[in-house]
Amino acid sequence: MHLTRILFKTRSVRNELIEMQKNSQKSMSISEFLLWLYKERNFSILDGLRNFRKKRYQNSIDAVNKFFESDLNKLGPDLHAATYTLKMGGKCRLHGSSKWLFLGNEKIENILPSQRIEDFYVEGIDLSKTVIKYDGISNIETCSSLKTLVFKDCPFADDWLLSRISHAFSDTLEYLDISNCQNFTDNGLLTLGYLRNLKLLKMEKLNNAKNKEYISILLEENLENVVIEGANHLSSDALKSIEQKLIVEEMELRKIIESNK
Amino acid sequence: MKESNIGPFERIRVPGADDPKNALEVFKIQCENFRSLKKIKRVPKQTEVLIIGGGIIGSFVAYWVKNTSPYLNVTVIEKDSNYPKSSTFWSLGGFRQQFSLSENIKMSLFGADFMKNAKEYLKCGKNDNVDLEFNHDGYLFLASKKSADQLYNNHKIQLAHDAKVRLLNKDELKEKFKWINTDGVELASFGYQNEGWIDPRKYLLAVRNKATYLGTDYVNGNLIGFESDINDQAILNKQLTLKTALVDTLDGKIVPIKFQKVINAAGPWAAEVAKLADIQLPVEPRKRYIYMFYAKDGPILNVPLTIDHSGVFIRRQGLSNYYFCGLNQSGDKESKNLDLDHIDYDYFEKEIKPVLIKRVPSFKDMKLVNAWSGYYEYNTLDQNLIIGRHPVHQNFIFTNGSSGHGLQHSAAIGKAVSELIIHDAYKTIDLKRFGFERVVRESPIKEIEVV
Repeated sequence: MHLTRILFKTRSVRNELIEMQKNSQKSMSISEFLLWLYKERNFSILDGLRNFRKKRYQNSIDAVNKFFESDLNKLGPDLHAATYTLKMGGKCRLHGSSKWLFLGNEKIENILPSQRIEDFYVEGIDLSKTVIKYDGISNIETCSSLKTLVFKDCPFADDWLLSRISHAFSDTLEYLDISNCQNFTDNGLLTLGYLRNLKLLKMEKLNNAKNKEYISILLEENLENVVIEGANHLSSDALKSIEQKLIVEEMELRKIIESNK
Repeated sequence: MKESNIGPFERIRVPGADDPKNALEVFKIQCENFRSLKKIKRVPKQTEVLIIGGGIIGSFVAYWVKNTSPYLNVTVIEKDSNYPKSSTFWSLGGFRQQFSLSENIKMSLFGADFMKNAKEYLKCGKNDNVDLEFNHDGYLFLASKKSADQLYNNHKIQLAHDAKVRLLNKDELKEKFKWINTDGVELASFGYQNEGWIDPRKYLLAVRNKATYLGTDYVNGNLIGFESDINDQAILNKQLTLKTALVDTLDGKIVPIKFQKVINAAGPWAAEVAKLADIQLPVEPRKRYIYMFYAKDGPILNVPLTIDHSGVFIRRQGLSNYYFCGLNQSGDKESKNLDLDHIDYDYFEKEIKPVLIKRVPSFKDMKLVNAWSGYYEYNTLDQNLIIGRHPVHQNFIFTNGSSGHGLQHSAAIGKAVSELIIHDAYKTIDLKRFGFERVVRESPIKEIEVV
């Protein structure tokens, strides 16, 4: 306590403080200045202008990711899921065919039936490169016999979405691709353990899932038939570090041997 | 630098500061200096909303008030901003919807919705790296023959509120969670979505950062007393209003702060705060132990926060076979010794370990690694939240007595209180039933627990 008091008085500390203050004043950008204005004088319009574009963009994404309950009641679960994926810009595959349907320049009436029909089952849904979010899954969730799901390059897909999938399709899903979604973390990958019938899982380029390799080992232990692609149990970094360790140990051994001579 | 230019004042230095070995120590002292300089902030003389207690509930009240109307001044008084005795910091951080009262279920669903969009809600300007690391493993209740009927009834209520819960019988339980020994389990309830757990410290700091970013003042201090403005008119109208709070700012000053609304978010010490305003509040601090153990062959995948019908709970911590456990007991059996440093290790050996090994056979060779204890606010009337205005002191608002559910309900509590301050009525969730009037009338509303 005594020492701190002495230091408090010395000029060096005070100079540093003043410098810090100067620096903080210099680095104030325009947006921060506006924010400061907003805080001090309450110009709420300025803040609104700053966030206007961002909010409009997000609202348009949220508008697509709603639960369309009336459509579900009109079309039935599988047909609704198929039309929803096509409208989102994804692809879908029907039961018994290997062709992936997608909405090009055609109208949706030419590809899918517009009224409820029986014996219509969707087997595969490909939502890669779409803006699918957690809430949008409620349109797909009701499919009874979905086997293939692809979520490649989805920027807004997160752990909540993954946990929802793993419980909704826990009995049927066989193929899942979640490559290159940066919002997936370890906590989301851990819920995949509930997918009992999973046969192939692709998870490449998940930069935020730090223990992907370890979780893939756990999944392989727990699920019987699963093959996991994209998670090398020993990554190149790990191999390098092991190599370096071995080299260091060798050097030390040599030194000991030489000193003994 | 020449010797002659240095005055006598500048020559005072830390002994041994020139020695490069001590450079780190000197640097530490300097850092401390900067921090203490930052901490000495002007204490506001008057504020619209005064919040007592800077834990998760107090921070959430500040956040929601500032979020909905940034014009209001909000001040939070926190005893110690390192939170050594805070019940938020030492809690387990569980989130669940499996309650029997509709208000509690609604509050949990609101909390889950907040968590879903937490990145959007809690980002501060350019810094949007808010990852709260919510664990989605869910919540599992195991009921014996006695409590199975109650579990079923609760399940019906939860389904009516669109909670994502599923009942499992003995065989389904065995199939889904291979690591559980199902002896003595009649029925299980598995919350598979919106349920799980979180790191409570990360959560608190994120909310607190956002609240300060929005302009809340956090003041280090201790509340000493209230002063009410007594005049004839007020006594005639029977509306006693508290006007100023006396705050000891821990550096030898006692500062009066004028306020319009005061919120009691003092957690376990809520009764002491209420007593300063001559209000009797049936809330007291209780202590609960949490033990951390290591089990070599323990399960990692598909391990929800499991609560046995005896009250023992387990929660996985990280991916390297560490687990937290503890025991939920009825209030009378808990220890009366409120010293946090005193930890009862026999309690673990006698009461928890046998149940754990019986329930999960792979915990056979478990090793106790660590243990700690934390307070929670225990409502002696009905173990439920007390929220809302005091009938006489109209500007005194309670948020007390959550009895261990405070963290998961905090987002909803904060929202409700902010609505009470700004609109004078509840808008999103109606919490009138949880008001202080039930304490006056002594008519408890009890949550029917399965455990």
